[in-house]
Amino acid sequence: MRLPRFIAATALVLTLLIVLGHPWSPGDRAPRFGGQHAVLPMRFSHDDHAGQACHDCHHEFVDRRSGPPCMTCHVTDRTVAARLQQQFHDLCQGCHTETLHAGRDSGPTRQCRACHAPDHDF
Amino acid sequence: MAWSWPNIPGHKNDGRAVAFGLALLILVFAPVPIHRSAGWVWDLGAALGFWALAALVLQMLPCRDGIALQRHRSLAPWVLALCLVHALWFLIADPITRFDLRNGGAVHLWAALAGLAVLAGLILQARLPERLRLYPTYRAFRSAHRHAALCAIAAVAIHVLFSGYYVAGAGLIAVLPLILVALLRPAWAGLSPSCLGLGGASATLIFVLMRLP
Repeated sequence: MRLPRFIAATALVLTLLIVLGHPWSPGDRAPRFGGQHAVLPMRFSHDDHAGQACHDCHHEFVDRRSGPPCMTCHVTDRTVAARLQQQFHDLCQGCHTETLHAGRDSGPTRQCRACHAPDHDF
Repeated sequence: MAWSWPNIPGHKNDGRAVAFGLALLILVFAPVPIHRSAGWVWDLGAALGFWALAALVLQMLPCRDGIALQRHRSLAPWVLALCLVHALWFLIADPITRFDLRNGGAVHLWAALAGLAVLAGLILQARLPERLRLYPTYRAFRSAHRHAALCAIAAVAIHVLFSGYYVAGAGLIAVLPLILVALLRPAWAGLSPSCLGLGGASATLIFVLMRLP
């Protein structure tokens, strides 16, 4: 295949994948966790985080508040729902990356599909 | 039959220097502990991007030699193709990445898209029939081409810097072009596309292999 044709074909596939989606995509953005905010599916396992201090993630323990599971607030409270992606990436991905860079086994650092899977919701 | 490095008639064969320089360049992108890996799928995708970036910077090495201008022209579509393969690899390997290129996506990924668009524009407007139609003089073309190229470099720099995983800081980004110029300028006129391909492919492989557990 000549290079210009290869470039055109690659650009076309790229555009189709971005616009139409992936044939084996694990899921689209949709209202989840009881909120109206469209979010990607997410998985989390407490068992995988057994060595982690609870208050590292559960800020309500520090704030001395009680309430529903964390995702409920984060998708329904307007003040934080808009920053959901950034907050959870900073918290989860940030911690995984720090752990990895410290030379220890960590959770996913870059692979989106490793966390955004619908099989194990919060 | 013995294999030899491709040569350009009338020019010194510096292919090995270029291949070595490219390999070194991509290793320079990761002067961090080897355990900074995101898994071989992501490492390979990132390495393809660094290869494209290396070729893009190499294209911009100043040189008055006519051969260098030919190299500049012939490299351009390869740079674009590498950028597209880099993006396609991530989109195929990790379907969720497409959400980063839609509403609410990260700025550094939109910068990458902008860089791709500018690169494609640079190639199209430099083709001879279009160039003569668009620009009254060669000087006008050179000026527009140079400014658009600077925009492409800025977009790519934002993309690499704010991806912020393999490349540790802004200082590193700033010194990379200098290292590249120092290493490769003497060999630029003698560069052959196959040397660039071989150098880049070797460096990409090294980048991934050195991070395997």
